[in-house]
Formats: sequence, structure tokens, C-alpha cells
Amino acid sequence: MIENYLELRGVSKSFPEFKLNNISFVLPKGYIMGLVGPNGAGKTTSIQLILNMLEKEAGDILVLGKDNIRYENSIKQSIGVVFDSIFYVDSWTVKDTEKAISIFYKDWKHDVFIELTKQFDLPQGKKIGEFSRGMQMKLMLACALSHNAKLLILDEPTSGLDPVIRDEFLEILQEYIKDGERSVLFSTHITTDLERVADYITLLHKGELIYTGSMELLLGSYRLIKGRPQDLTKDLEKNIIGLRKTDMNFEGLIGMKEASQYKNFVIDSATIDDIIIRISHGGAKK
Amino acid sequence: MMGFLRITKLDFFTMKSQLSGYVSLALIIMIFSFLDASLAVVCISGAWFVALVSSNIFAIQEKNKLDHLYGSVSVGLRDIVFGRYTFMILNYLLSFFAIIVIYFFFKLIGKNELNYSDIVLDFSLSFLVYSIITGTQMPMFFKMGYTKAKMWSLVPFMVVMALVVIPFFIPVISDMFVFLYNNQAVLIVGSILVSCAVQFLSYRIALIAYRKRN
Repeated sequence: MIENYLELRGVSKSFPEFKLNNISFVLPKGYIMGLVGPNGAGKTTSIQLILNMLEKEAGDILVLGKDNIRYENSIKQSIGVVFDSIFYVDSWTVKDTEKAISIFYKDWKHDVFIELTKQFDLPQGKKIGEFSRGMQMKLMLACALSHNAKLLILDEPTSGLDPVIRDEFLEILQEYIKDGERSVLFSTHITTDLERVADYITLLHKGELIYTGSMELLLGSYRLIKGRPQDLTKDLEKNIIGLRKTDMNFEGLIGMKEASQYKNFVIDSATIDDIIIRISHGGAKK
Repeated sequence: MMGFLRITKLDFFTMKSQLSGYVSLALIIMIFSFLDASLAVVCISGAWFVALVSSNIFAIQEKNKLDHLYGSVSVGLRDIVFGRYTFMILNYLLSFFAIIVIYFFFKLIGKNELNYSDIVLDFSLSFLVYSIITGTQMPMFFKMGYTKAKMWSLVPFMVVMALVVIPFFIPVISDMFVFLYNNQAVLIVGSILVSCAVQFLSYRIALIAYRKRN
């Protein structure tokens, strides 16, 4: 029985101006993992490596317990993919899309597809190019959910969607993993979405792995520290990640252990956004 | 169904929107037939035109980010490239069949006779033209994508034009063409063999080019 639906071990890939370096993380069965980081962190590259759309230079990728290159075809029967923009021909209708996509799946469920397109209010006769962005994302999701996929891989699916559609989208994901037999890898930079649905977080920054593990542990690992500039000692400054200083005050991220040393300062809990922003500005202290 | 056949099927489905291009081809053949053009002229012009229209698959692929689709479904890189080559060759064969049917329909109305040896000869020559054009273009499209390769993709059209014009100026080549014309069996077999070699070589290069595209 496969316990981890996705496993990356020391995966690297170089481009002339970017390197994804030694990335390792594990997504267990039945959970949602958020893949987060600022633009250019390596989220899309990681996803393209998982899908074998890019050739990795080092490391291993196991999807549903199998090597992602050797068993690419069989693995992809069990994966649903949604990218940040539609990847179907814009002159297709919903019906055309089903005809085109269903040829690739042995376990395509026509009834499920029809049911989902009705649930998502997708107009059957309209061309995809005339769909709103929300509708396009829903159509990709309907395709991804219509062949009994065990693993959903979503690359920034909620960017550019209005809050109502985003909310619906997240509800669908929660519903999808309810039976404990499916997992979702969800890349995004809208971290409020993750706070709602993600169990695990993998944080990338400039191609480096900053954190991977449970979301609770990440949120518990850092605190926001605030104070007056005159109270900022060199020792404290060394411990702060992404220090922001004005004439009135300073603010930054500090590790949980270090935070306990500074009881005279304002210490607040940090959100994922706080963590990403500070790490992006100041680099990570692992 | 094998992976490459799925891609071929998807390509035909993708090109549905380009139907007007193929209808234009049919109209051009009708006009040529009315003008009493030879079958060779119709077939070679047809090959030229089909190469132009069918390369639109790469434009649609790029415009609609179909690489993401290919990356998400259960086909490998080899299937994608081989499926596309299969699509291009089937595209030519179907178009050639349509050309012959339309051409002879109009000829038969004029009570002209069918000449089967002409059909075979013109098939081999037009397939050679088509193979040179698409066989040169496809690795470029796979490597650079449609937009970046667009200008370079015109080169094979010029090469074919040059091959037609050069013999008029260089007697040695002209003599060779006369020899081939007088030995049509050699011309037919040679054209088909060269076409297959061009397609095979082009496929191997395209496969490497597509793999290295990232």
C-alpha cells in the first residue's frame, strides 16, 4: 500500500539564470500540500519536473510510489492537472473538450464530467475562448476530476480568480480528499487559500527548499517581533529574518526558540504571508 | 490505442478549426482543373499548400499552451513527436487523395482519360516536396515554437523554389532532370526513398530538439 503519493528526493535542475537545488519533500496520501514561495521560487519548475515536462539533472521523483519517468504513462492515468491558464484549444466547446481529453484516459467517467460541468454552470455550447477565467479553471478542474485521479497537481489555479470562485474552488478540493484516498499538491502565492485547506507546506525561495512539513509546525516555528529602533541590538538584528526598520519602529521574523529570549518586545504569531515575505526579503536562516 | 495515435487523433481534433484552409485547397484544385493544369502542377501546388496549412498545428499548439496538455496526459515525449509526424503524413495522404478525386472528377466531366502512372509519379514528386518542406520545418517548430521559428520555416519553401528554378540555369542538373524524367521508375522510387529518409531524419532531430527545448 502506498503511503506517500508524491516524493521528491534531492531533485535539481539548472537553467542559465535559475537553479532548483536539491529539493526533497513528501506528500502523504489523503492530504493537501501547498507549494509556496514568491515568483521565481521554483514552484512551476518543480511541478513540470514531477510531470516529466522538464528533464531533471539529479534526484528521484516518485509519484504514487513509482518512478515518474519509467512509469510516466501509467502514473498520468491517475493524475489530474490544472495549470494557471487554460491549455485546451480556444475554439473547443465543453463537449469538444471532453471528446479530446477522454481519449487519453482508460477510466474516463462521462457521467462524472457531465455532472461536474452542470455543477459548475459551464455553458455547453460556448467556445472556451469566450469563457471567463473562472469558468476556464472550472473546466480544467472538471477534466482533472473525471478520470478517478488519485493525485491532483494544481499550479496556481486560484490566481486571478475572484474570492467567491476561489472559495468554491477550495471547497471542491476539500471535498475531493474527504475519503482519505486522494492527495493534492497545490502551488500558489495566495497563502490565505492554503491557511484554509493545506495540511502540509513546502516553502521554496530562489530554487532552495526553505521548509517542508506540516503547516502547524511552520506557523509554530516563527514569530513576528516588533520594537523601537533604539532597542534593536546587533545580537537581535542577527536573529531577525527580513528586518524592516523605520524611524519609529522595526519589525521582522524570528525563530520560535530565539523569540523566547526577547520578552520585552512585542511578539506576535506570524501568518504564512509574513513568513514568505520576510524570508523573501531577508533570506532564510535554516 | 497507442500513445502516438492518441496524439494524432488529438491533432486532427485540434485542426478542426482550420477546415476553411482545406476547403480553400479544394477550391484551388477546382480552379486548376478548370484551367487545364497538369496533374503534376496540381499535386505539387497542393503539397505546398497542405504544408502551409498543416503547420498551423504548431501555431495552435503555442497559442493554446497545448504543451501543458501534452505534459499532463498519459503520453511520453516520443509519442508526442511521432504522433505529430503521423498527423502530418496522414494530412498529406488524405489531401492527396482529395486532390486526385477532385481533379479527376473535373477531368472526367471533360471526358479525359485517367492515367495511373501519372498519379504514381505525381504522388512521389509531391510527397518529396511535402517532405522537404515539413521535414525541415518540424524540428524548428519543436525546438523554438511556432513564433520564433516562423521566419526560418520559410526557408524550405525557398529551397523547393530554388530546386525548381536552378535546373534552368545549370545544364548538368537540367540533364539529370531529363534523365530522371525519361526513367520514371527511378524517379518514383528515388523520390519516395528520399522522402522517407528526410522524414525519418527529421523525426530523429525533432525528438532531440523537443527534449532539449527546456
